[in-house]
Amino acid sequence: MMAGTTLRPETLLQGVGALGSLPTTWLAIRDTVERPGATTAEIAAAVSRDPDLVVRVLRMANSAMYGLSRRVETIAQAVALLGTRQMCDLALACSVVERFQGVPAHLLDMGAFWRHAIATAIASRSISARRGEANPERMFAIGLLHDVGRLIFALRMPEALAGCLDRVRTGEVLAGDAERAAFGFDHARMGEVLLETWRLPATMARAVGNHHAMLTGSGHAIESATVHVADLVCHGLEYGPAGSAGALPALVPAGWDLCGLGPKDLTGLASEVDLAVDDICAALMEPVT
Amino acid sequence: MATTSVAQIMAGMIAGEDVCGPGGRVFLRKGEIIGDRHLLALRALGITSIQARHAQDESRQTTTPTAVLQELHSGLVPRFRHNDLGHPAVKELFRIALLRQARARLR
Repeated sequence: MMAGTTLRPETLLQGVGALGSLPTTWLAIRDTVERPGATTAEIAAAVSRDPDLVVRVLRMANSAMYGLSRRVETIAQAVALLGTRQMCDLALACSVVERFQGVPAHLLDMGAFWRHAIATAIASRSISARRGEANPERMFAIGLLHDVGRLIFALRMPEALAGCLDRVRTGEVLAGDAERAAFGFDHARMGEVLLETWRLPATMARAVGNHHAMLTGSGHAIESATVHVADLVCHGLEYGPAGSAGALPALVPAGWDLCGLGPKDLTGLASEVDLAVDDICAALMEPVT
Repeated sequence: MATTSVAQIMAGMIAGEDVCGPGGRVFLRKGEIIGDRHLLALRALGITSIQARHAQDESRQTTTPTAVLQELHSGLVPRFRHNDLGHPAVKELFRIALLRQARARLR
């Protein structure tokens, strides 16, 4: 950080163009889902306004992550099988990845970035499903977005981020510490402000903002804990942005205690990530032809 | 492990590194046996060389599984340097990570 200046996340969001807002198609889907009495056909119609989104949502619904016994052919079927809130969060995940495609973030290996994000999303969803929560897709979306603040750093402060990445590669310093030294805040806080700007629910923004430092009693601690543990596990499984290189983030024991897993659950969690990660990467990343 | 020109790589050799295609998706994993489809993909993507070895090289190695585990264990400890290896969850994650690396190495 330059002496005498105080950088704020909000400042970095000025000049990010279209990334400053979510696609109108997704906003329309959210509005439809939140309208009392909205029908499956109306929600399907809202999703269908974006043909690329339709393809990606159907790829997701037919992926190994869901393991459905029959093929989902239409958005209406997907809504009926998965649920309306779940469809909304799934569409959000697809929309965000689309939004960032083509963003010139030269410093980051974008393939590795999204593979880590997707692995963390799958792990977050699995942890949520193990707790028996009604909408594990919400945790999928939070997991997918947990590091999105780093993309804003790459776009707006590439040289400072390059310095951070150099420090992190040595393994001596964690990413968050290097970022706080360089910018005054870390990628988690940057992502939190981005999600607030997008007017996503506070649950999602706080979970992203606190995924390295649980704030117990914040009301969103379980979501933060879930993505915190999922992130750590995915780094351990070499689904980190640096693959087999780079140090794992530090486990916050209170986060582990909150997330509801036992150590023996980790093998199953790893298998679930392994099983679904290629399918979901293909669903979200491969071009729609 | 030495880098080998794709022109010299034959099906049946073992990849010594993860190889990514467009979008960063890994289509050939470290430790995986290289097949014809991998060779086609490597050429189609214009990749000129990767780390690879002949399968028989592995059988010539004198290292025992225990020695491999010890080597991998030592290599893994620095990745966990910010974590308490005595915490039950970290301990289990370390064990899983070690086994995955061992499987990839011995495959």
